[in-house]
Amino acid sequence: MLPEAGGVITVAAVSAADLARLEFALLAAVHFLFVLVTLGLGPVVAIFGSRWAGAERLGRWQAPVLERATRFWGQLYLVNYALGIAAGIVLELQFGLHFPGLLDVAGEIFGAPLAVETLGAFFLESTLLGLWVFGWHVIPRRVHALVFWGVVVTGYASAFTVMVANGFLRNPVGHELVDGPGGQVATLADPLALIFNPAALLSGFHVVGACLMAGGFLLVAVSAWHLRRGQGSGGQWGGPQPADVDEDLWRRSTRTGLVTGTVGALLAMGFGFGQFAYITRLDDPGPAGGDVSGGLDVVAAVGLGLMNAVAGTVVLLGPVLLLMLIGNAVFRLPRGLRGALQRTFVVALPVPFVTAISGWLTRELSRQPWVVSGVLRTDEAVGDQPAWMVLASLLVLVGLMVTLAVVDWTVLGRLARRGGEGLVLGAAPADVLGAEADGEPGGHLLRFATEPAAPSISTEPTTPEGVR
Amino acid sequence: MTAAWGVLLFVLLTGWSVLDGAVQGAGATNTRVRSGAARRARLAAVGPLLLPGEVWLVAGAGVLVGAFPHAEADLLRAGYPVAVALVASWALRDAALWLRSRRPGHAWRTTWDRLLAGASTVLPAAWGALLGAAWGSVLAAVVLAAWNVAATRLHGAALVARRLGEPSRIGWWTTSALVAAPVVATAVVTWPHLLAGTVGNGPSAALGGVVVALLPVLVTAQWFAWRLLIRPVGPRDVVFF
Repeated sequence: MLPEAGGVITVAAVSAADLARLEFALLAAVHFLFVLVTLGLGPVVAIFGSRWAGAERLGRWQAPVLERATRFWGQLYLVNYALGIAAGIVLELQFGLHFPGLLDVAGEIFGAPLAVETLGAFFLESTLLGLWVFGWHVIPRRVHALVFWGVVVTGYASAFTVMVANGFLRNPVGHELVDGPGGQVATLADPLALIFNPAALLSGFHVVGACLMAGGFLLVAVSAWHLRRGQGSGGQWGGPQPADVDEDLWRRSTRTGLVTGTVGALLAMGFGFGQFAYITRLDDPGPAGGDVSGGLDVVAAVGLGLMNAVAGTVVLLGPVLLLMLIGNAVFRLPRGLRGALQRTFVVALPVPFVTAISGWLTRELSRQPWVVSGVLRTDEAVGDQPAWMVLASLLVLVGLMVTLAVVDWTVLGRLARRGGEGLVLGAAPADVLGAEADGEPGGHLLRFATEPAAPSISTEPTTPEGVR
Repeated sequence: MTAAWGVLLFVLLTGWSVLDGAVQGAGATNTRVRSGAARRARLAAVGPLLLPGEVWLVAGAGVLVGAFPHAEADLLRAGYPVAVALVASWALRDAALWLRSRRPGHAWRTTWDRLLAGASTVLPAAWGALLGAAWGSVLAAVVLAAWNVAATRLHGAALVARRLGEPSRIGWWTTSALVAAPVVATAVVTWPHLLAGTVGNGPSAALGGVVVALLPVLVTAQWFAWRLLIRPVGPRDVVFF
């Protein structure tokens, strides 16, 4: 419903809308890449942490390697999570900044799950994560492990509420359109229908599968890189049993990654096909408009083809690799074959991320030109900022977030390559501050050493490069 | 009912100003000390406040979207550039805190320290200016921005002094009141406008029910976090940032 105005104004309005959409899409893509790792790695860190707590309590020999696994993957989780929050905050503001029409018309319904997300799930998730990181030496080990399970559960709840909001856009249910002062307004008629919307539930499990698959690929790729490098230097790796604590760490991580990757691919595939139950019904051209999928069949075809190919390959190869875990066969293959497999694992790291982005594009683009299917068109929801202003915010926010994301991935890459030595997460403060090369650390160390440190926290030897 | 949502909103915004204000102040003044160990000790002093603190503003934004969507749309229409500056400086501040100590090297850390100081100055300024935009006055925006920059610096210094056991001229209760003052004043000034910016028949009862059910859990988690984390630093603390 563009105003019947002169050409210049119409062009300006259209390009402001396009810029707002482009800005949202780019920021959402950056945020989504971090979410994949947060949700994919979360359960893995929680399981390693719980097993460490159990092993320590029972005095089992696995305690050191499980501690190392918890701290190594926990640190990658944190450095990834940091930018995930920042990107999420920038993204959340986009609704109010550029799509005020969405809040005006559907604010009551679209806003409710977002309020639950920020006020409940994310609030708890971040508080618990703070407790986990900074209460490392204070909270009893078993409670500490439980705290991280809280982080995982609230993280998944957070993702689910976002899917409820997104599902409403795709398949608007549980609402009633009433006449308001500024036009029709959607009011919440049936909260349960909103929550149990197939576009939220089925798609939510589909996304969870994609996240677990990404986490699995990350575990396997990082472990393969270390296993490949380690066998060259020492020469003792690759035996029936792990030669040292490091080889044990990477073997355990590979096993965990193969399980989560395969389970994730199965979930993503099953619920991915399950979604067609409502997608095909929705794409019947209704009274509101027949151009629901007009012109975007190419993106959808490429996206669907890629998702099918990747999930199908992982679902086929995953079980084979899982069977090869028997007797540690996958770690004891002939050297050439083993090297090729490990190289493949490393190179395959971007696959789940590219696939997830293509899946998200397929979903979001196929809804256009609607922001709420059949209720509100995207161009009606966009605000009245001039195009240059939207362009300025696009350059500032997207430029900043992409730069920070690339820097963060570089740091993650270095931390991943560095392995399980000198981890800052869970280190004693004296080890961290003592490694600061410049200045006079003595005085600052005293503040952290008014009583003898607990013996369990200073076992990690400080490397010459320092702790980080 | 709508008034209760308004109170919740301003409680969350005040909480964020006090908790995150300390992190902003410490970040903005961290380049004043020279040695790397001293800088890290100061960041460690406010580090635990970051994660359980910044969620208060995220939650406040959630309440604004969920209960007062029209007020949010109006506010962001008026304060568009300031809102962009707010989230941009927030993202940069967080990245600087998380990344500065992840690699060794003087250049890496000095660069991030400077970015941290810059972002930690822009963030409270943008917050003050956004509050001023809610007042509908450019003068208020300028005054509140300047006030916030000064108040967060005092607040950060007071909190670092408390946690590191150093003497401090101003107590952290006083500085907390200083950083909270602009939010409380904004609550008084903008109250009628805020209540008019709610959804059709007021915020939905279903959403209210969810929040009432969640509040005890949230309060408990936060209470534990502060009990454990806000005390003078000792050997059981964690130096992460």
